[in-house]
Amino acid sequence: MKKYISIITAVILAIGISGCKKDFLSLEANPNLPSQTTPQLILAGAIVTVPNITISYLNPYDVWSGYLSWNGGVVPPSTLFQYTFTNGTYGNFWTELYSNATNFNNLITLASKDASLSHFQAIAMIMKAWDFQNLVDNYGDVPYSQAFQPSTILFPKYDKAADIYADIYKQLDAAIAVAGKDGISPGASDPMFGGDMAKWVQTANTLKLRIALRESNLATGTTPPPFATTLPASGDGYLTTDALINPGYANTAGQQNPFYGNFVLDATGNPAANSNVYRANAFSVKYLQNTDDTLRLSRIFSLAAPVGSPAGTKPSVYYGNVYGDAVGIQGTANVSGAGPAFSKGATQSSIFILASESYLQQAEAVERKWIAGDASALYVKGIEADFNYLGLSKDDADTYAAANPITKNSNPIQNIIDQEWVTFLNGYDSFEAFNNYRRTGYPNLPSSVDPAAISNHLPTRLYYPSSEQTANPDNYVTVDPFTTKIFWAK
Amino acid sequence: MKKLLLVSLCFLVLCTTQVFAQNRTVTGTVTAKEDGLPIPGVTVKVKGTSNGTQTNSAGKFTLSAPDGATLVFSFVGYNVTTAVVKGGVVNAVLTSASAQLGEVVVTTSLGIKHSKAELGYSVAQISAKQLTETNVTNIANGLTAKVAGLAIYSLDNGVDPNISVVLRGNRSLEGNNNALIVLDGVPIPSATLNSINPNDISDISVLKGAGAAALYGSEASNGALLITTKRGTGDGKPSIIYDNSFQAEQVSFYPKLQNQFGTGAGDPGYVDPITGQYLYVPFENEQYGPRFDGSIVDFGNGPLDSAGGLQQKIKYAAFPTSPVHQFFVTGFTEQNGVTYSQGDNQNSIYISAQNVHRTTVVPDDKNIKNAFSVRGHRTYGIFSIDYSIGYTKTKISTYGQNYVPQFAENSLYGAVLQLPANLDLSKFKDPDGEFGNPSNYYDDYAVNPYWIVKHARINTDRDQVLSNVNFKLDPTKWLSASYRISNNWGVAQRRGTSQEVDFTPYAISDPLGGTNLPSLFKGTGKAPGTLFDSYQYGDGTFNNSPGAGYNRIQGDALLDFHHTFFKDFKTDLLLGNTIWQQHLKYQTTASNNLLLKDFYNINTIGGLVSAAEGEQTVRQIAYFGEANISYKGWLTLDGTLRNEHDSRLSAAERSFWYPSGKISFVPTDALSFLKNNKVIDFWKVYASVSRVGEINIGPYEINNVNILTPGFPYGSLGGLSASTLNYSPTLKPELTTEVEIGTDIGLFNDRINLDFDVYDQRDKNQTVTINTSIATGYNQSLLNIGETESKGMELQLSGDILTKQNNKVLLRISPNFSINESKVLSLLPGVGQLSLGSNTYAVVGQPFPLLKGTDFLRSPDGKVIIDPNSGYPAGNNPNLVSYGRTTPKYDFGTTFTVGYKFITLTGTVEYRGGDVIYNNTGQSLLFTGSSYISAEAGRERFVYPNSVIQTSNGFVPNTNVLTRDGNYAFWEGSIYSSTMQPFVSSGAFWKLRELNLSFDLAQFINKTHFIKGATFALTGRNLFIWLPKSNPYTDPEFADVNPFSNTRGTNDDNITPGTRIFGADLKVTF
Repeated sequence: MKKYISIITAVILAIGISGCKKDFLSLEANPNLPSQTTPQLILAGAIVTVPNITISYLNPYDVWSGYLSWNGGVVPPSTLFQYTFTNGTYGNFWTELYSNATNFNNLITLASKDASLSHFQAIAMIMKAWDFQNLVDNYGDVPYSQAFQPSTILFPKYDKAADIYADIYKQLDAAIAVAGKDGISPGASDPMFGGDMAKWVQTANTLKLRIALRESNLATGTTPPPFATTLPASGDGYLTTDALINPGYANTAGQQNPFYGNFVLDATGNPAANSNVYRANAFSVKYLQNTDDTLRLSRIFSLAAPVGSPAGTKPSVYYGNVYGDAVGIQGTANVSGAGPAFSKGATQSSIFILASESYLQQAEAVERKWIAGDASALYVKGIEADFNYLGLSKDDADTYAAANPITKNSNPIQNIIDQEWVTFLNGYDSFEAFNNYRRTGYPNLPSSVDPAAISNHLPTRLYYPSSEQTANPDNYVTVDPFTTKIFWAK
Repeated sequence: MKKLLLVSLCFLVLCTTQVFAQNRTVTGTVTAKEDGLPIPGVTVKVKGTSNGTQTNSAGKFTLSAPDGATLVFSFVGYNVTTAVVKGGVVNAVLTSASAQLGEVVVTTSLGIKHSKAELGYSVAQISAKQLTETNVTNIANGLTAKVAGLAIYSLDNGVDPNISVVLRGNRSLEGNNNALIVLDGVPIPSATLNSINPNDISDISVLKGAGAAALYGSEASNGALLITTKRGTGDGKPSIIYDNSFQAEQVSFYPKLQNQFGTGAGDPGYVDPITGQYLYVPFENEQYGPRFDGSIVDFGNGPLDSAGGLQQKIKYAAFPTSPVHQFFVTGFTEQNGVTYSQGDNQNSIYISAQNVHRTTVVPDDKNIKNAFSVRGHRTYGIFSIDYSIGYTKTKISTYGQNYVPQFAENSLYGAVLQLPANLDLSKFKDPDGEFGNPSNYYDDYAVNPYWIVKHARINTDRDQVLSNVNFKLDPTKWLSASYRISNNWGVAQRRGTSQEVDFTPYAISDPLGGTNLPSLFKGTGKAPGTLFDSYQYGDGTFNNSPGAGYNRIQGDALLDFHHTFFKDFKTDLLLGNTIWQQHLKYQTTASNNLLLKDFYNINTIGGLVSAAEGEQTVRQIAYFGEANISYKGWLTLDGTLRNEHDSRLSAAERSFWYPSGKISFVPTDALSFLKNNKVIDFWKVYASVSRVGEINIGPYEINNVNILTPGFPYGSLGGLSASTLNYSPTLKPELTTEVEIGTDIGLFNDRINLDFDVYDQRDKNQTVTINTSIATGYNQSLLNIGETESKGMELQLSGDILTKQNNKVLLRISPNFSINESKVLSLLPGVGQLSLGSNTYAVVGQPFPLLKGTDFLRSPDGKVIIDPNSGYPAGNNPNLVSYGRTTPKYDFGTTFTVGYKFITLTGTVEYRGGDVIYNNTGQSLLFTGSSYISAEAGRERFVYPNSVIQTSNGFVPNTNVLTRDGNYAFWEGSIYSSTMQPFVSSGAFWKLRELNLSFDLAQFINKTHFIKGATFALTGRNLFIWLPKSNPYTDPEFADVNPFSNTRGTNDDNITPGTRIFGADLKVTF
């Protein structure tokens, strides 16, 4: 009996003692997901996410900007054709932009504690400003000063859109200052410029100009908005090359260039999901045809089989569906898709800002007499840069520019914006094209022709998302997406 | 010297045995006087000796005794009876003792047995017979409707059903509300219930409240089910039972379908431009075409090849059997089981083997289970060992996903509901055949359901080993010590494959220009095969519900002191320690791009492998004690205290104390004027107060993490993003405080027993993932907020209305009834509502989970306001409307037994109600156009029933404004189908859960010595269901959510229709 008692005691003690070891219960560390990270990992992740947002979540702007429309064969959604979208529709923009800003904000917090990380800090400040300009342009007043404080503020208040604009402009200036300091180069973890801070400074200035120009309707005479006192004169202060992102896209599911993987072919080589949903908009096809812009048309869109031709007919025409026309709507075979400039392959680079936009914006600012420069020359440079991006020659660009000079019609700003609109026909810049339209009215974008559409003009904005209605109810604002305008809109 | 002593001791033992061997063998059967049924487990002793045995499951015993000796028969709840041995057969009839109820011994926490009189809380005990009456393959099914307050949710009826076990309703808003299930002292997840042979169960104790299960601590805050498995009993002679049952299963309830209209959708181009009539579209997946007219029409996508080959034709008239009905088959379940048992008071062994082969109503789905277990106990003087080991191998095969990535989430049932009523489905049965293959399939937008069944399979293999061994020492009369170590271990493997599809060039060319499915593959002409493999090392399941899926090792040390002071004070002191660890590890690899057809290996793919792995460990150390003092058996005080340290919490928040106190009082024993009362035999009142925590925090949910940014790594470039779920190191367990008061009454010689209790549970520190504004940096935050209340009453009656003894006919009815009311008392300050997912909410002051959703604009008297131009509902109420709770408020169950001679009829009926469900299935039916409702107005324009028009003079009843369209444009294209209200119905049902007609064949075969007993039974389960008119869709019990989440109440076409089961069972005892 003693033997048994001693065995039991021994077993109990053995287990008891092992159980009492100090670290027996210390299992806080997650073996599956890291609590720690590095500036390189945050930076790469957050930058690569940017084109995914513009491609994957901003689809209604592809349609509203006149670039794409709905494809036949799939019943068109009334949210798109009849504008019956609600606060539960398109809510991803809000979420994705804030998530992206969160990561850049985390990087700013991390890098500001270590002087050697100044370059990371500068890039994060520039990109966070980009996120917030997009948020303001989508929604107007949004949480800004009370954002990113989860332990103290669960219901962040909305800041005035104009105040956010003024502050992100200031942050871009601050970022330029930080970028000038010595620090570790982000190198390959910067999939945009490989750590070339000069280019980041150019990007910051280009974004500053974008912010300032957005307020053109609020400006008086030749004075830029009051906060925009540091705009450089036209020239190398702004982007002179395309700001492209390429982390090493590959023809593998999830690693394709986001435009290619969404609008061209998926990784198995079959048509990508959105290529069967969104095809060319009649407006953009006709616009390019009417302006004899056939070279760019042939690069932007693909050929389609003529409407009414039997199955298997060779593609020979450019065709787009009319937005909202459910009766004459055509299917994949008869409607143009992405053209050769955008279907080079799964490894093509994503667009952040094209040099053409940089030049055309400078042209507009010069035209408005905000900055010094030669508007006409900048205009031509903008067209050259776009032809260059599309794989067309400088000579072709100059021929086109000569036929379509900045003075083509009486309003040079309209010519500049129209040119910008063409360079924005790339999937990444549809929202910028729509912003230009809301600011200037150029070009005169078509609204849905669906007779059941609840509005006879394009929406002026989106609803605040339903996630805010449930999670931040006291600050949630009800808006009318057909009459409420973003503060800078015309 | 010592050795010598031992040897001589052995001799002495042998000699003693020798003495007994001279006795004769006496056999007999012990039956109950009331119903004449045999009583198992009766102790039979030779008076004046220690020689004794117990009756086996057939009430039979065998022992050695000399002629003239007196046998003493004793059994709890029966008067002790004696009989004198005369010859080889001694039968005994026991009469039930008065005041028996209080002496019924029930198993409580940690397997401690208490008489019912001593319990200060509600416990229900279910016998093996009650459990397996209808040959359930799953234990949980056998418990359904038998215990007040115990709700079993069968969330589907596939071959591997998910089952959730809930006691006393929901307490936790988002955390676990499932009862703890303890098998022979070892906690197991409810998914493991599937792997246990129900025939191995001896009994189940249901500890209903947190108080009853307080000793188990945080894992049992939702009550507990204590399952005790059989051990060999009896006279030392082997008993072998062979059991065979055969059951058939059929769909019992289909949604109501229309059979008047064929394919068409009113799509642009398919409407007659002059009449506006919808035209027939031969390749459409929706049934909004013209009315059937009996003509022969073309069908499908034109000729089968570009050369103008065969053109399918179809009769445009409803096929005699709906294709939905044609698709489902009859499932069969065959169970074969053998048990061998042998044992006496000292040693026993019980071996069981079971094979279950099950197919169900979905073609080709099957579940093959082989279970093997050995258990037993051995006694060496004061030392005893009890052990149990069971191994179960389960092979499950179910259908997988279709081949279209964009439609991958489309369900099989969804594809079946798209089949138009004029279809002869047998022509499409071969998914590689002329009409059935993916290139030629008639429907341009859906996959042939037989393709899914045949070419997309998910095969799951589960190997599960449950083992435990308990060492016990009884050194003195007043102390016993035991140590149990247990292990629940297993491996789950799953492989999902879907076959490559190669389309014909003709199909890819989209001949009719409708953007057909094959044209989605025009890049390569094929949909590549897909493959995924998963492995989880844990308990043998893939379950990731709380506590499930883990390998669990547990050690329990117990010291039990019991002593009676001053004759009348019976005391019990229990001290214990439990240490457990749960661990799981998983790996998955997958590819959607296999290079070769029919070659499924992750090394032969295009692109990259998508792979994942992870592991989780949880540890807990607990110390606990219980003190129980009983005065003369009629006043009992009981207190428990438990201290827990859990690794899921941060070091500062890790330690918790959970106390409970209970009192019970038996007036019928205490008060002299109530003693020997002819009406009331037993009356107990009791009360308990307890506090138990529940850790609704998963492992590693206290520190924020970073996750791989989608798409990364690109080559050597890595990217991490912050997770959008915010954790906090200050998280604490939820705390449930429960007050329970109840009474047990036995009337008329205990022919009527009544248990009644009321309880009130407050659950604070709710661990809730609240949706936060992403502007905080996080989409969600896990917080401790708010408080809920769950209160209710439970009534359990059992009445022997007629007995065999008095009436020749046996009639016993055992009804039970429970009401549960839940209420959210508070949430975060300033927050009145919290989304719980699946359209359910927690709203302060309201029951939870509360279904909320869209409704039409209505006039003040509730009528739908319509648009005077379109005749359609005018719009949606901008605020979501509350429809009601999604968990039943009322649950009524009753079991009845009618017996005459050797025939017994047993049945169980259940009603649940007081809840609502959201029939998303109804929207699927509208989408496909198979909905009966959509054809009720003949697809003609109609006046929206009960509608009003808003005018400047107020609301005017609408009598003449017809809907602009009575077809697709209204039923699917308008606000009607996107509004929740038309699809919300009462969740109430009546079900005939079980019916069993059994024949005891023992009397016909008594003459053979080889066979000792036999029963034959006809059984049925879920034979009938009665639903309110508002629910023409599906069995309201089914829910399409994670079975262990609290948001059930929504069904959709991922759930196949309900089934009924009927069969036969033969049990032979050797």
